Amino acid sequence: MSFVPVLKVHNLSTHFQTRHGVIKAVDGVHFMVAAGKTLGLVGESGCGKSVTALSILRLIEPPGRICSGEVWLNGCDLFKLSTKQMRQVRGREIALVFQELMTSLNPVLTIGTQLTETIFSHEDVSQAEARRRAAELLAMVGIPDPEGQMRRYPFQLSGGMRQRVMIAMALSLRPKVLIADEPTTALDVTVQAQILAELKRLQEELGMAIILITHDLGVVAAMADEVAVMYAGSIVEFGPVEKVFDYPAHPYTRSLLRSVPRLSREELAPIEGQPPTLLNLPAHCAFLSRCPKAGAECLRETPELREIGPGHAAACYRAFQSLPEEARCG
Amino acid sequence: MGRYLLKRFLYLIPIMLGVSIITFALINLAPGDPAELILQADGMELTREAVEALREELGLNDPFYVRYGRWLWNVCRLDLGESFRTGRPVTEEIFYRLPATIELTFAALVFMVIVALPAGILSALYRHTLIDHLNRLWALLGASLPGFWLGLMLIYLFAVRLGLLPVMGRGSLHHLVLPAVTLGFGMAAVYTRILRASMLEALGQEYIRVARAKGLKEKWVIGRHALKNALLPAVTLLGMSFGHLLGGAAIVETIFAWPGVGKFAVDSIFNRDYPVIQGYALFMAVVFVLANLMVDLSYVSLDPRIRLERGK
Repeated sequence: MSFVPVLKVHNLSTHFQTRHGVIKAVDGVHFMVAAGKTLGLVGESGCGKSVTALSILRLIEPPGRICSGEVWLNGCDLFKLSTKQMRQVRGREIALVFQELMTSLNPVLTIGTQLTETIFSHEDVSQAEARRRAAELLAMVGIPDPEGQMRRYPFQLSGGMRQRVMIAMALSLRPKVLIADEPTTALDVTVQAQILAELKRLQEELGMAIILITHDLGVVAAMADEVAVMYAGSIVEFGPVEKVFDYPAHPYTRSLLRSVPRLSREELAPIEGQPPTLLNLPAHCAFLSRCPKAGAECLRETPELREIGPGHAAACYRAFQSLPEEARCG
Repeated sequence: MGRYLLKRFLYLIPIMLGVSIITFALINLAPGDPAELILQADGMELTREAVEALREELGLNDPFYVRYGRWLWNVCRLDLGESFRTGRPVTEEIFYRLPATIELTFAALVFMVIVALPAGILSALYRHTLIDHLNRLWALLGASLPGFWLGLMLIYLFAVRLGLLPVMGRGSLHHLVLPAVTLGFGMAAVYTRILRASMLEALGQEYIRVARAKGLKEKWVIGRHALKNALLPAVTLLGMSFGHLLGGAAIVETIFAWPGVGKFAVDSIFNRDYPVIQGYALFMAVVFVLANLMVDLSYVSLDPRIRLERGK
């Protein structure tokens, strides 16, 4: 593909040391995202999406530990920065919108304080200037009466409003990359659509890259340019969104797409079985026990992500066979 | 707000009634006759007639409810009676000694906050490290050592052996150190544990992660985002501990011969000086309720959720 990635994640592994053993929450993840583009990171709960996001910002707390990997932001390896330099990256270069709407804002500080403190901590501006910019941000994310809202506390706002505040907060320094972790999961459908449209508009305005973490494939289809499907801490399929959705190569992606409710279909097809525990993962493909297409070769070592079409890669020994002629590479 | 305050002041009435009935009943159950004690103290002969005459004079021969009713009527007219021992009005006696007790209690409170605040915060920030273990050890010690034992040990070490501080009495700032430490030590230990727990809870919240993700300085994250939330439960305890300290002052004042209300109350109990005991109990109940009211009011300024809900 002909784009220059703004953020490149290479071989990222984050493990949690527990009493029962090592949990490999993120295990050898690669992906990249270009300026102005959106990458959808999808998968079931507990597959390592959020840990990936926190790892990029080096916000993993013990007993978690980033074991290996590199995160390149415009040619700079974030894992090599000092604590102070990293602090300047957070919020300013890469911003994060969290999924916990109800607990992400501090209950005893006003919206205005929580917005302006982000500006203050990175830029040398006056109180009045910071407040003016905060009000502008609130207006930008579609909050009426921004001045009035700034004096209010989080508990006085609705869920949708709070999420807009979170987005405004994340955008306050015009970051190059926005990581949105389930930004609309807790919201009802109409508010969800509004927030997504808003995000899309702001992306065009600011030219930032978005990593959209979600388990909602509908949201990915509407928003993302590319999609990375995660399973048990690894990316099992990666590619342009239309390719992955039209010609899913990994059996897990196919099962995931079949489990989406459609008006034309009466019954849903659930994925049989349970995702594996991330503790002591098997040496073979992690999806093996749930895979309808598994064969003898799948018992060998874990398959690597291999290119199977233009910009399209899958970690499955049988991926190539499952693709139609026109979607294959070469 | 005005209505809220009025309601809280009205609550004082049943509390004071309850406290006074209980103390009145308990004093009556205690053995010992004040008339005999007074005559003994005056060096007079203990004849049956003399005791009986004095009992009649003090009104001790009337039934329980008559005495309580009479006392209550006087209280309504802001008259707590006169001390059997000194003959001076109880109110006057209490207010005369009050500054010493307030001084001691506040010093203990200050000591408690100065020790517990950093100890609790450091313990939470450096959980499971040496600092935390040491803090928890002293918190355990502080909570389990009885005040009178600690007081005597401190006197022995700092006053008798090292000669750094005076043994007893009130006067300079030096006099205040040992009694204040003795009084505040146990509460400081409890306070440390509470702060550690509430700080840990706050630090585990999502908004702390958000604050870090925004690139805020760590001292800002801890001082503003975590501490402000962690202080809420601690402030509740502060009010209760004020009452606790006032009560504990009675023992500490006795050990250090501190001329406060507590020591006076203990002496009065030994002498069966009924009006003083009654007055002291009632007075303490009022102070306790007022201290809690102050805490609730400070809560309002700390927690916007309470302030704004009430404002509706």
